[in-house]
Formats: sequence, C-alpha cells, structure tokens
Amino acid sequence: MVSVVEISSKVLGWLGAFLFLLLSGAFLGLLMSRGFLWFLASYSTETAFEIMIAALGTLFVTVLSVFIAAPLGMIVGIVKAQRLLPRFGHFLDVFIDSLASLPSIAVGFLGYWAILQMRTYFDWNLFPGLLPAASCLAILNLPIIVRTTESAIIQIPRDLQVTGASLGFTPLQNIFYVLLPLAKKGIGGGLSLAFSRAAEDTAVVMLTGAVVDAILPRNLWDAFPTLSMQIFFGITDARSENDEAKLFVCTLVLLAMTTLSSLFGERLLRKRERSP
Amino acid sequence: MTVTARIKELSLSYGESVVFEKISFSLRKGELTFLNGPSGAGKTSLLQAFNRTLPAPPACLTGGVEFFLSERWVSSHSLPLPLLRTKVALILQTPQLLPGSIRRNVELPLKVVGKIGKSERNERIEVSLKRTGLWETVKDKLNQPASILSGGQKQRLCLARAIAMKPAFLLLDEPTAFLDQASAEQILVLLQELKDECTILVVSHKEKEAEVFADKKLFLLELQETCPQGISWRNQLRSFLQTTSLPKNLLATIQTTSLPLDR
Repeated sequence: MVSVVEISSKVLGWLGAFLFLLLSGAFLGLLMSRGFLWFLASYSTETAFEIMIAALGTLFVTVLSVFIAAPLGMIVGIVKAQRLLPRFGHFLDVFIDSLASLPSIAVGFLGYWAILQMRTYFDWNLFPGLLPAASCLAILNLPIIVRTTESAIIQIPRDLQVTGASLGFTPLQNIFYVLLPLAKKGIGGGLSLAFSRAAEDTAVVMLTGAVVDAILPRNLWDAFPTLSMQIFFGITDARSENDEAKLFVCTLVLLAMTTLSSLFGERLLRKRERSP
Repeated sequence: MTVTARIKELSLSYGESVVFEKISFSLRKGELTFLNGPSGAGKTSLLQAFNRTLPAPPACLTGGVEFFLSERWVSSHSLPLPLLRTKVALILQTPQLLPGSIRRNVELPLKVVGKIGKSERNERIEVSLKRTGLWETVKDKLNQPASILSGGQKQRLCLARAIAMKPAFLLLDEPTAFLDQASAEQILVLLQELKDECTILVVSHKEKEAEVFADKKLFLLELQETCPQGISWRNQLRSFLQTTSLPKNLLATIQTTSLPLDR
C-alpha cells in the first residue's frame, strides 16, 4: 500500500515537473523564435533604438522607485523586527498587509488623482512624470521591502542580535554596525525582488507618467517610455511583421531584466540562509 | 584583595518559572573565580544579570548587583547601559563575532563606544591580539573576514575585543568549551595574568581547570526545597552533597583547598 502511494506521488511529481518544463519551454521558445530570430533577420536600427530607449526608461523609473521605497521600507522593517514600537506592531502589520494586497491599477489611479488634486488645490505645476510614477511604484513595493528587511533581521540569531548591546552599543549603533551588515544580503534580495515587480508594472506607470512615444526624461517631471507600455500599446498598433517582432523583443528584454534581478535577489536570499 | 562586586539577594524568574532565588556572594579583584553548576541552574543568566543583557521582559530580576568603580560603590541599575557594558565585559559560550574583518571586530567597540583615536586603537588592537596569542596568526590578515578563523581563534578574538576595552570586570561563559587543551591553557594563563587588572568570573564545567586555575570556586546548585534558616551555606552544601535534597537555589562558595567540587 505504501509503495503504491510512493509510486503515484513520484509519477505525479514527474508529470508536474514535465508539464511545467513543457509550458515554460514553449513560452520561451515562442518568444525566441518569433521575436529574437525573426528580428535579427529583419533588423532595423530605428526599432532597436526605440526598444533601448524604452528599456532605459524602465530602468530609470524602477531604480528611482527602489531608491524612494528602500529607506522607508527598511526603517519600518527594522521597527517591526526590533519591536521598537510594540504597541503599534499590530497596526503596522494590518497596514503592510493591506498595502501588499492593493492592486497596481488602484495605486496608479490614486497617484493620478493625487497629481490632479495638487494641481487644482495647491496650484502646483505638477504633471505625470518620472518622479510621480516612481513614487507610486515605491508605494506598491513598500510591503516587499518591509517584509524582507523584517525577516532578514529576525533570522539573525538572538545572541548575535545582542552582541552589539553587550559591547556597549546604543540601539541605533547596534542597528547600523551589527544588524544591517548582517541582514544586508536579505535586504538586497528584497530590493531586487522589488525591482522586478516595478519593472513589469504597467498600470501604475500608464496613469502616472509613462508615454509610449516619449524620449528619455531630462528631469524628474518628464514623461518617459517603458517596455511594458511599448507592449501594451504595441498590441493594438502592430501593422507589420516587424512591429510584431518588436513586441516579442520588448517582451524578451523585459523578461531578461526581471529574471536577472529576481535571480540576483534569490541568490542573495539563499546566501543569507546559508551564512550567519 | 579587595571586594569589587557584591551580589545581594539576586533572584531571577521568567514568569512563573524561577531560575534562581536570593543568591548573594562577592567577587574580588586579584582572584580568579570559577562558577560551576548543573545545566539550567542559571549560570549564564547570572552572568547576563551583571551587565543587564537579560531580555526584560520576560526576565524579572530583583535584588542588587553592586560594583566598586572609580573608588565608590555603584549599583548596576544606576549606571547607563553603554558605560555598564564597557566596564563589565561579557563573553558568551559561542563566539559572537561582529560582521566584517578581524580588525573591525576589535576596533569597532573602541571606535564607536570608547571614542578612542586611531593611533591608540591600533596599539590596543595589537596588544590585545598579542595577549590572546592571536597576533602571529592574524597579523597579515587583519582585513580578512573574521569568519575565516577557527572556533578557538574566534573565541580568542572575542576575548581580545573585550580586553582591548580595558574592562573592570570580565565575565566568561565557558570560554574553553570549544578549545583544544593547549589553547584552553593559553586562555586560562591569560586570565591569571589579567586577574590583577580586572575582576574575573568564569563559568566552567571543567573541574580539572578549576582545580588548577581557580582561586575561588562558586557552585550554583539547583535544589528543590526551601533553605532551612540558620544553616550556613557550607553546611547546606555539605548536606546537599550528601543527600541531594536541600534548598531551592543556593550559591555556595568554596575555597579551592576546602572542598572538592566533585562529590
């Protein structure tokens, strides 16, 4: 009886793994064959330039959003892990969980609405652009950074957590000189995952600053292009095989960016689990 | 040899669970004191009570720990924590390294807590590493990660870090537990040298080490019944050793020559 269960679970395991490999292989194969190879055959400098500009736009807004979210997310993560505000810990949890489940279209809408309100009530000359979009993406990414920082610090053995304190460090010195260096791999992993999520987002950037035919932004208020926008609007505008190939290449570049960032992040997270 | 630390009716509990109750003893400078006792009797917690590194809450500590510092008696609770922990250094059983290089491990407390200038820092790093017998091994790799050191070397690095701060009290929790005999002896010889500079309390299960190196032995017993009034600790200990059914928790002091630790 036991052997039947063992055999069937093995068969199911193999079947699951095979199906997964088949699906992901088919997806990647389609992208490669339809996009990359076809595009190489009918290469156009103009299209390549458009894709490069869109990739740079994606990179700018994503990196800026991580820069905005990282300090706040790390501070909240440290506060949670160190129980610096024990009475508010539960409230913080509720807010972080709510934020984590917020759809990106809702964040984009709120960002767009906030820009309109500032223009109307404060008479600020504010437009959708790089900074508003990055700020909204930062809100979307805060929970990831908070949770990874919190878990990276909690996973430091208790003896090591109090090493600084037993040497006479103040709580702040302990955080800077002991906890953050020990948790840096875990936090770095969280930042990479946040980068991946921001790079693939379409809803937020579409409402808060990305324009499909924009050039590279010259300041923080300029509109900017992104790969996700190229794909989103390219689907309706594609008229030739070259246009279609461009969509596949955009998808490949975006996939490469998010995969590299995720792999880097996961590698850091795995390293954190292995080393003290 | 003057008394430099007084522990008065110190009790520790975690909620309902009592670790030890009303223990009193004193420590003297110039005397190497060893503390022994069964696992779970609260030896490590006792050391942590000295420099207030017990997690409170849940730990509930009552009674007093007083130190003779700067020619006057001060309660451990009246001292600011950074100052207390600089003066009362605690080295735990497993080496607790700071992240970073070998140099950073010794240097960081000197820089951050001691606010000591660079030239004096370098001097203290070299002296403390020499005293712990690490200098020859690590002098060419001071900037390499401390994690490359062996278990024994890490423990000696922690000791070097502690003595570089020139503490008035040095508390060590089984410092030789993971060391080979030669390294253990090196540490114990160093502690004997240091006993005139600071007051030292060593938790150790190694009775042979205590026989050779201890000037005074303390024995923390975990006993089940209330201590009968009017019986001296020595008699209580004798009774304990004979019957093993005496008071709740008792800290017994024995001179090395009077009673062997083994029953």
